[in-house]
Amino acid sequence: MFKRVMFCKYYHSNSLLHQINPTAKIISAIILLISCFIINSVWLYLLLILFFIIVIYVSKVPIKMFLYSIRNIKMLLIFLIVFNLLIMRLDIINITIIILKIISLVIISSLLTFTTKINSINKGIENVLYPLKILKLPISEIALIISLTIRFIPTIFTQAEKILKSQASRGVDFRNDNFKGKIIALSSMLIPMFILSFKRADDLANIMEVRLYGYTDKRTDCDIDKWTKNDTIVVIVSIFMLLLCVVGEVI
Amino acid sequence: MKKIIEIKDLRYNYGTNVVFNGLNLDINKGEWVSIVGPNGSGKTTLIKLILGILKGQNHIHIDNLKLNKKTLMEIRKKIGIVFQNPDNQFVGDTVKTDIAFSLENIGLDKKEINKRVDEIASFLKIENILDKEPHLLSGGEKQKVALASALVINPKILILDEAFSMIDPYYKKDILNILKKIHRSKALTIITITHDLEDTLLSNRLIILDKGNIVIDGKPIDVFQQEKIIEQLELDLPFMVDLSLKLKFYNLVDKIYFSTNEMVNHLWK
Amino acid sequence: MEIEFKNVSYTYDSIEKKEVLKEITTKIIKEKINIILGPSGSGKTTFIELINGLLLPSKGKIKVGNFIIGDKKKIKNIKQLRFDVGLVFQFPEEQFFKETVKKEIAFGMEYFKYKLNVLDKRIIDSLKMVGLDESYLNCNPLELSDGEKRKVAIASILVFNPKVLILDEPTVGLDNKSRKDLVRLILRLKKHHKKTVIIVSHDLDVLYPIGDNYIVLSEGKLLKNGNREEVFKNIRLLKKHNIVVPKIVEFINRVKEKKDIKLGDEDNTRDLMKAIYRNV
Repeated sequence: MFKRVMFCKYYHSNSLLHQINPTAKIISAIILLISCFIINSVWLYLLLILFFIIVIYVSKVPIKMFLYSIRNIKMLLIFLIVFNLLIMRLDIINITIIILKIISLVIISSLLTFTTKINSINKGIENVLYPLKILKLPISEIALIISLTIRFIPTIFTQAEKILKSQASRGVDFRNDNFKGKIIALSSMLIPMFILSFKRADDLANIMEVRLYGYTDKRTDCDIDKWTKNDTIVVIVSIFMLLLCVVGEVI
Repeated sequence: MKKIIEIKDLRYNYGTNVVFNGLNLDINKGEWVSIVGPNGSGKTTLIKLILGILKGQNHIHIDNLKLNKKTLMEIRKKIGIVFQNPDNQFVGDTVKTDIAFSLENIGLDKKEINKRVDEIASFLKIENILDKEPHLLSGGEKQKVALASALVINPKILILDEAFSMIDPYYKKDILNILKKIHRSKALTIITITHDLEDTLLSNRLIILDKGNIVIDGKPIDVFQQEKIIEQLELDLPFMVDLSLKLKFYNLVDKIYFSTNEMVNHLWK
Repeated sequence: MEIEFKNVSYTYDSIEKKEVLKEITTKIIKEKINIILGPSGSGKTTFIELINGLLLPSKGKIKVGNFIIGDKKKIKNIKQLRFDVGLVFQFPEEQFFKETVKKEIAFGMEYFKYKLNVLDKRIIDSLKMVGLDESYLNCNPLELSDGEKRKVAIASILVFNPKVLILDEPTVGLDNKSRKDLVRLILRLKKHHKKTVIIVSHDLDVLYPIGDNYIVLSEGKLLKNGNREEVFKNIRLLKKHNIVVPKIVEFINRVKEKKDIKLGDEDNTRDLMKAIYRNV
């Protein structure tokens, strides 16, 4: 009845890119995204895409996966082409630039999610936002909350599936019915889900407290990934690409 | 014997319900206590009060520390708990992270944390699932992880609150064997809350709770022979005990046998 | 209502393509208590979800009365199947979302546009079937005791008057008294109301005395199938697959193994005592 939703596909491999510190990858991704948006010439985009192809090769992730990602947004791309062609009346070159911008965006984010586990991405974001702690923002706590949320996504899906099946056994069938039936089915699912989620939240809060969360403000960080030479290289390479793009634009 | 838990005159209300109306209970260091009672008798509420999750009017002392706002954390350091629902107590994104959680909270250094996690995982034979995510584990595996998380802080008291009711009996046997081992080797004080009297055979003290009152408190073998109470609460005696008592009535055996082999050898010499 | 599995396989539709059930061929015995057992992950839940059409088999066919599940992509007239085969999940009280017991039980039937006046009698009947009286009608289901909640959940399926009732781990989480109550209820459903009962459970010690037919699954395959004697004759095989057998069965087996004395297939300690008395 439910296809397991793959949230942020991770492709397992032992490539160099997989082993890079997630923080380095996130910083590089941001730098490359900036590069992506400041350039306006087709040649520079093609250069960028050539760079991406090299990185994809290094990542050992099949190019099919990236094509699949691009295919997922084909409706958006078609819409953009048609919209800009007919309504904005842009020429082919400018439309191509827009399309290439979007595709670059997809490739950069795919490179990140295919080579980095979601929890590592969470850790990387926490590290990148670390300076904001000066503003007294609860960065570590937010990262923990995100991590807990991610951990429970499969559990919540299983629970929702079970409740839907329960209600289906009482005659409510989400799949086989008309629109009104679907609405009733939804409401018969939401209330039990809420109740169960509240109970879960209560149990979790209790267990976290009992396991001494809040004992000290300085929680040990077990996943501190070491920063290696490779990580620095990756960041430098992306800065280099950015500079290349800036220079290319100015010329 | 030294008392590790002292409860005097415990009172607690849940809304308009009076759960406890002056409960007194002492648990000695190294005892394995089973608490049995119908749903609503107050078993889980008692545990939550001991852990300070609920606040009642009480005088609770844990290891000579009076339970109050200031001592809460120190007391929780001494207690490991495994609750009933395997999913709702799994905090980490992997087994390893979950077990390490409490150690990270108290600020131990990374090396020590890794050492302790590896030790407890090896002891409980769960090294092979250390990197697995919870949704890929069975209920029984998750409870073993919960047990690991409880034991990794080296507690003085281990509490299991109906920890077996939602898992495969195969894992229940596994966990009970582990408890038997650590009760002996680590002189751990264990409290098991259960509906199943079979689970109480390993403990040295059985308390039956009903409507917030201790109905009976004694050695399991003595409690099992309190016919009236067993009947009144519709409790199921452990199989060997039940059989022994019936055979004893017809003079086929002279005592309660816990071991099948012993009884069989006695009956057919 | 006859239920028959013919070479049924089910593959989980994910990236890994896990085959959860492998070529199961077996029968559910009409108007008897059928117990499905096996270690966790053996496919028990998938097995029962196939019977009421929540899942469609990847291979093979399931005959449920006049329905044949598996020969087409969609089940025609699936609502009738849901009427005939009632499925009560584990912790069924989690599905509650109405303010009164009456509304909770009526829910599914209202969905099928049954008028309330016809429903009234059916609701009271289904409450009676689970051993609760009319005073429960206006109670809030969430405020009942665990045992009562369980019964209301079962009543909400019984209101359809299904010929077959499937219960997934019906005793889990209940205290001793409620468990015994539930077992008595299941027996009544079979004897009094002539229902075919299918139970998935680990709780063999309490269900063994009422089981008529046993279907043992392990790793998706059918391990054993038959009555009490056939299935529990050789417990070594069951133990090899990490299946925990009832303690009374272990005892009887031990006596046979060690002293070569056959006590029989007693299911309670009183009968066992008598058997021992005769054989000592």
